[in-house]
Amino acid sequence: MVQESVTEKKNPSQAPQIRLRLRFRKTGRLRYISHLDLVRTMTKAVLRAKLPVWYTMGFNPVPKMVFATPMSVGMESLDELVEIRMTEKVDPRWAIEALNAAVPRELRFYEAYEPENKLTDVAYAEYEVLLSTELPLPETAESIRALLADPTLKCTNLTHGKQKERTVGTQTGDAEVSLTDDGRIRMLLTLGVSQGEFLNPEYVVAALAEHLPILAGSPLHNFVLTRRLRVLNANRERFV
Amino acid sequence: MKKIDAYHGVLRQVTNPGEYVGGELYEVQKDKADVSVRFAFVFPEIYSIGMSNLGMRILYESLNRRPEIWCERVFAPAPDMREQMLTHGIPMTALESGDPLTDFDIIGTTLQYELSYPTALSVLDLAGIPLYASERGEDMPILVAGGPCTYNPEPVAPFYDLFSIGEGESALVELSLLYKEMKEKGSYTKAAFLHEAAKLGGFYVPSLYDVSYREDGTIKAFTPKYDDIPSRITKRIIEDLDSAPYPTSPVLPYSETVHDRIVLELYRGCIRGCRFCQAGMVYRPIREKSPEVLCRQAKCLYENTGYDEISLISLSTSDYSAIDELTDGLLSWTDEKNVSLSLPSLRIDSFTEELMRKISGVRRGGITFAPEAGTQRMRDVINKNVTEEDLLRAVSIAYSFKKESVKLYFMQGLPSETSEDLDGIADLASKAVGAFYRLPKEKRGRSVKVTVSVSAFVPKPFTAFQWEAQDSLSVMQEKQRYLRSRITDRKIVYRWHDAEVSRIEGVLARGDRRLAPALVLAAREGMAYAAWSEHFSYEKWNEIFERTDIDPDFYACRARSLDEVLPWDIIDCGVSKAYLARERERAYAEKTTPSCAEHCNGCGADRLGGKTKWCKNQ
Repeated sequence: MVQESVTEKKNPSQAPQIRLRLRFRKTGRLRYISHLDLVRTMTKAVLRAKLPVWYTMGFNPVPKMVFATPMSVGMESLDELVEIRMTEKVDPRWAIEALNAAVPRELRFYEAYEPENKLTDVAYAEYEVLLSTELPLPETAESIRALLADPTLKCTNLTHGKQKERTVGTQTGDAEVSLTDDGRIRMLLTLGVSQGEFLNPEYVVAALAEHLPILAGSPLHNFVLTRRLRVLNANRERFV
Repeated sequence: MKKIDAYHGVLRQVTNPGEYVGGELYEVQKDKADVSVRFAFVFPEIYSIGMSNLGMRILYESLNRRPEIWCERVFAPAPDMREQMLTHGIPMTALESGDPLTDFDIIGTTLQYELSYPTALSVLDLAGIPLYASERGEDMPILVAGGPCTYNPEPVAPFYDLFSIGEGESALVELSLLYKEMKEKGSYTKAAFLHEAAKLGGFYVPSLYDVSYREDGTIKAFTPKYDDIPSRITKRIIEDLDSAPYPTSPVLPYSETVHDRIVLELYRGCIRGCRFCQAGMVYRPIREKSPEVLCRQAKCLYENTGYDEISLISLSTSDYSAIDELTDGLLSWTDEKNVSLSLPSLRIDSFTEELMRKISGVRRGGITFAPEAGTQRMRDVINKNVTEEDLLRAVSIAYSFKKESVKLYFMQGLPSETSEDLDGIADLASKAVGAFYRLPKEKRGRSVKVTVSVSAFVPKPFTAFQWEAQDSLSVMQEKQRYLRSRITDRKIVYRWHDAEVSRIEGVLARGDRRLAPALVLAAREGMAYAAWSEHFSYEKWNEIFERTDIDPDFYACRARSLDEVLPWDIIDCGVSKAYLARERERAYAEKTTPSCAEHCNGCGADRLGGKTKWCKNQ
């Protein structure tokens, strides 16, 4: 599709709007950038990549971008989704290449398509939580397993934000807990991300920390690395 | 990646963890094994301030263009991160590799502002590097400093092995290559290297000069320890800015920084000769970039960054001889792409409707002018060369473009100031308000606010006022109170700079190497980040001066005689002492001096060379 007139270019709202959904990874050092900064980065990236992006009307036109599930600072993700509206059909492979050339290496796009469903259909996400701790490993892993199996497990003391109570145990019943070769405790959690069901894995860690001194020592040796592995639909299958 | 994982627990506890890990777009990564010189560039401020600095971007680009050099960035940690580093023994590292500073061959520090000296030293402390050059052995990196403050390097002379005086683009590359060559030949020792570097030109190695003092505490002489090093260090300049390295892919921060926009440097130097202004002297001779090169770089920067604002910077943007050609060239594509132009340094007398139209795309905020003084007499003393008429015409143009907020910069405490000059500031602000109401209603906005921002004058090296006494603290504060009482109009907002900060600035700006012990204490006793007002304590500074036996009045409030050896006499910045003395005389005679565009006043900077259209002697 070709833009036909100058007016159309200056008045993008009249151009067609085609949703392009992109999957990307955000890893390594990029885990420390906030969601707001990620949005800023992406806004500039689509410009640098010269994608035929649809701009909102108004005094300060911006590309229309919708993210599936905002990430907290410090979290890595192997499966993130963003939808950007285009004014014309684009070759998905070209869009991926152009975007990857316009963003740092630790941000990588790997899938693009015109979606049929909505991003609000994303219902769950699967997380890997790696715990480095100075506590004795097998015993701690066992205690964690027991705590996660308790449906009344609560988090009352959040490390960030206001103090409020949140039951987390209802979502951690099927968590897997194991030990890694490099001496860490690995938890696999599937938690809700939809409206009302959203549970940040940090709340789970905070709930555990209320019963076990897992993060009590020096932060150089006692810390948690969280990584989102996959986003899932309501049937707990990979979301596409 | 391993290194970052090790600090993950700490990074999770600080406010802006992203500012300590690098990884931004256009960050330069190289293989350690492939480079001969590892250069750490330290900007002694927090990331969000330092990342906005153009000089750092230019030098990062210049050094990294050489395959044998890898230049990395280092910023001062914010107080919360600094606390964590001290508690857990985390060393200061560079962003690109995450390696500690002690792993580097050369550490370059830029000193932009006198009050950042303690911050610069605290970065070295965090890195585990002894502060005094004489206490660092062969295993320690070479420490070089540069930047505007190093036109008087003496207050920090004992800390750095050497100083790069003037523009660093090629000088720092030469220094790095000398290091590489001597290491490869096996002729490297720290002493031999510094001796060779002193001969490169533009490098001041303080340990190679003896300073003797007179009984009254003034300097008697600088004496070089070798015959083959210069008795004065002439600053370096880039002769042709068009062909000089300019970063068109600057490292792009994720977080918002102070100046998040494209920056185009139009020229260096200044044709005006404001007598209080150090930048106007030390960046001479005037060298312009061609509008073709600037337009090309702007387009390239836009495509590489996606920024929606282009800032045209230089000491007085509207003095750029091809300003119309440049702005027309830029506007041919910027409008369509929703990119706006901003011209931060506009002179009142060259501010036109046409220029206003070109920048009116700037969405936010008001507009700023700098009359600097309230009366014509005082403006003649400082050689500002603008009139009240100029100012009222300029603000009227701004008002007619519906600007409702105007900011006016002034200075108090200038030489020969009387209460009349202070009254003049209040009067001029009132007239600026009046100009708004003189416009017909349909030609202006709804209301007006004039902000009067007054700073206390700090005499700086290499200005016509370098010999002057600064007002004492009580006089500065008295003048601030007086001015506040004179400003009664509710449309005028009066802002003043902290006089206590100006006072300490005054001590450090014209200080000598005897200040060093005080700076060490300041760095270690909480005066780092003093550029942020909440970390500044005047009482603490005074206590430190007392403990180190320093009389701050000797540096700040003492008028120097014309024949005194000044600490910065060791540096030749191009502009001659004789010219500055002539300008001082004209100041007291209330005589103005024409700009370089009208007449060559023989400042002396033309002998440094450089492609310039203004210096008539060439």
